[in-house]
Amino acid sequence: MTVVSFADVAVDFGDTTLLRNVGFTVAAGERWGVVGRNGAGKTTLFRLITGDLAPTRGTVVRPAALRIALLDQLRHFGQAVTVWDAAAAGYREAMVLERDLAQQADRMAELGDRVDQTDLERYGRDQERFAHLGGYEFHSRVDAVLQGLGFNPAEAKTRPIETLSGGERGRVGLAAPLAAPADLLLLDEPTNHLDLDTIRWLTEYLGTLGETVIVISHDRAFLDDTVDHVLHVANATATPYRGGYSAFVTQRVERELSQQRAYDKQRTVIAKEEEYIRRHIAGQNSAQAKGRRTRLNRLPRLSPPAGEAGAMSLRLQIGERGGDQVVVAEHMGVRVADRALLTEVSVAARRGDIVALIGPNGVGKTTLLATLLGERAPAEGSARLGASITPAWYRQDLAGVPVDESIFDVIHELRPQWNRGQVQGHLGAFGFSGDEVQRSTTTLSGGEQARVALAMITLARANLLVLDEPTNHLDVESIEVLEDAIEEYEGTVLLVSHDRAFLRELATRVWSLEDGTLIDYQGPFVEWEQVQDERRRADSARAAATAEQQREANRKAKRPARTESRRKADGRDAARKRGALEADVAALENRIADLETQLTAPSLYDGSGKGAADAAALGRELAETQARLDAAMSTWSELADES
Amino acid sequence: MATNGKRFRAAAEKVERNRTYSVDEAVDLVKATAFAKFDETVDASVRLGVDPRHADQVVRGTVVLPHGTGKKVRVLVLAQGDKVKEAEAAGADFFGVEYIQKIKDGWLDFDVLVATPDLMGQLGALGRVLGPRGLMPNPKAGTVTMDVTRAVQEIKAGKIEFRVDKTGNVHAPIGRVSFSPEHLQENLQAFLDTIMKAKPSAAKGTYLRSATISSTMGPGIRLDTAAYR
Repeated sequence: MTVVSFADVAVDFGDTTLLRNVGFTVAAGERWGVVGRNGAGKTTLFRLITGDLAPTRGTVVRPAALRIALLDQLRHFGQAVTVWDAAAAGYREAMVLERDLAQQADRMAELGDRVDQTDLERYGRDQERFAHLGGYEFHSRVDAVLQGLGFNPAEAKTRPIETLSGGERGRVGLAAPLAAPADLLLLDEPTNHLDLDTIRWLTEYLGTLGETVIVISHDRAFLDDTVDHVLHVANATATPYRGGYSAFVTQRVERELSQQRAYDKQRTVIAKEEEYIRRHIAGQNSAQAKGRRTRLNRLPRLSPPAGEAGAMSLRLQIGERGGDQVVVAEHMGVRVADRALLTEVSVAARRGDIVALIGPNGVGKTTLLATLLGERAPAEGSARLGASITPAWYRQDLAGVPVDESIFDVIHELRPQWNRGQVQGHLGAFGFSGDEVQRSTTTLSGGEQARVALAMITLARANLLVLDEPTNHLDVESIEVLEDAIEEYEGTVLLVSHDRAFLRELATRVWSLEDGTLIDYQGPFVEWEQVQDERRRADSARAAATAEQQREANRKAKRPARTESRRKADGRDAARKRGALEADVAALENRIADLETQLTAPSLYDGSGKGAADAAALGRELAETQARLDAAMSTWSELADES
Repeated sequence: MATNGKRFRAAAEKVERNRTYSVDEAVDLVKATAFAKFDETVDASVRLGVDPRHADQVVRGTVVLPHGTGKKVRVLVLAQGDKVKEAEAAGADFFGVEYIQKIKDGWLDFDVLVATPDLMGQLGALGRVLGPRGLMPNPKAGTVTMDVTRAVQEIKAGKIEFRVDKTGNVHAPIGRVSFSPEHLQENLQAFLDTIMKAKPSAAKGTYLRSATISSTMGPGIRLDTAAYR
């Protein structure tokens, strides 16, 4: 079944064409990833799908009853008061109906026998609608999603929205569309502000979900684990690719290469033809040359593969080399108000390290950075920067970018000696060209602000870079440029990120914040991931073993009852056998007595052959009977011992 | 991939896949194609031209099969006062208000739950347990009523509840292979008639798209539904 289909769609804003010739079809159950530069039109595609925006040309077809759940980049909670209400936003109608049904039920309880048919019919109708809205299932679904996103469902029912931190608000915003009843799930940057464990849960959850999913993301590892189709938005159009993110990268390169080859080939042919025309147009072969010229004029020209406009070019340089010990903490403690975030942190970063600082949201990563850089005093112990270390901090909230100033002024203030051309040239490397440099920083999108922050940081020529979630607002191409720049950087980098592909590419060392302390893993992020996977597997194996032991204990606990009944049954059996044996013994003893009596008869010893033969037969039977008696006696005593 | 056993394949050979059968032919065939060692249930499945995602196109109802389903149905009646005695007299398997607590503790050994309207307030909290299992009493299904005697007797006599699933199909048992062909035919007829009467006004196009009967282990036999179009 087709969930949504675009046919030759174009979107114009005034004179600007944002998208054109967009055509793709999403079938039920498929998972699509949408990738492309900031401002390329990805969110516009979502607005076209939801029907918020009508295409200027072309058609967008979707079934009339299609239920869409949307996670946009801005998290709204409407009138929800508690965390649980906000997560259950998709079930608002069911929640209202649930309350109404409870009131109707109370009224029926009051009326007792006097309940009339109208009341019952209304109750039945509402109950039907309640079931249809998923009323009986939504509590467990919302609880499961909240649990997965790291909230306690019971606590969430009473916790007000206002008490949430920034990261937590992001997660609650994600809970609502994930739990909502929908046929199509549209997620715009779902992994922003999520920690590694939550991203892993989200990947698994989307895998188990039956709904169709379209996700805009710049997280390459997440896309690779989640999607089976990629829609690449670039150069004012969108191109669909089959396969995950890695397959998309390969296919795109191949497509561009074949486009380039076809273009080069055509250019060679055209040049050859033009040469022929030039040489023969006025000679003997003039007619042929004219014919070729006509054909050449009619030939549709191929265009070269379009390069990406506004691509960033980044180079990170150091001013001076700096000491070998870059950051040193000894028995350091970090505390916020009365809460101890970290204790006994003893760690040192060496020159050239690229340290990944990871841990769940709210564990204190930013506070730790502020303490290490000397912006906060440690609660205990000490923290210091090494000799000749100049740090530069890229903040998660982009607080370093001045408010309400033109981009040009921002750079000019940092380099007052630069002339206009130099400032323009520097900003051009970050994708800001022409009049764009006069835009105010308050009008910039998240991605553009991030690029300004990076443009500022490159001027610092620092030998310690502290990058707090640098990939949050950047598109994939910019992330790759940043990756290359960090790789070539000669200084030290402290990196806070939840982008696994980014960390796998760069981190040479991992500082993991766990259980109120810092664990220093002296190896690349890839190895740390393997260790974590092994640990997780060991934990689940241990949990499975414990569960199995528990089950075995339960079985054992039940077993005595069965053993008791079996013992009784065995006892009854043995008694029955003993009874039978006793009867046999009595019979055998009687027979022995009888045989002995017969053997004393004088007729057997009258000297005749018959008497001797009879005596011998009786003797044999006596011996056999005696043997049987002995065997029976022995079995009887065994049975008696067992019971 | 799962494959069919040789006995199923032998039974399936008796059925022409592309043919539709009249009710009497189909009933004879379902009896002939049942091969299990137990008394198989005969099920009817009907594909309807409705979109169950729309609340006004949900097909749901009950039908008292003239010859019952051949299955013993365990009925729990939640009632208090005189209604408990009525339930007992009518033949309910379990009755009394104390079963609310038992259900809360995880007990669910019943097939149909009948409740008097005055207890629905206490049952609301059990919706999450009973609802997904289709056990929540509902006035439309006749399981929320003051007339406990009639409800229990009808259920015991072979009243079945049906409801369109999310793909637009309705399934219901209409008897056992051991039933006489006449009894099975009459039960099937009663079921199809009720399905036709339950047609929602919002349904568009062909309502009864196809109907099939089968025994528990046997192959499906398509019915000729021309008479219902």
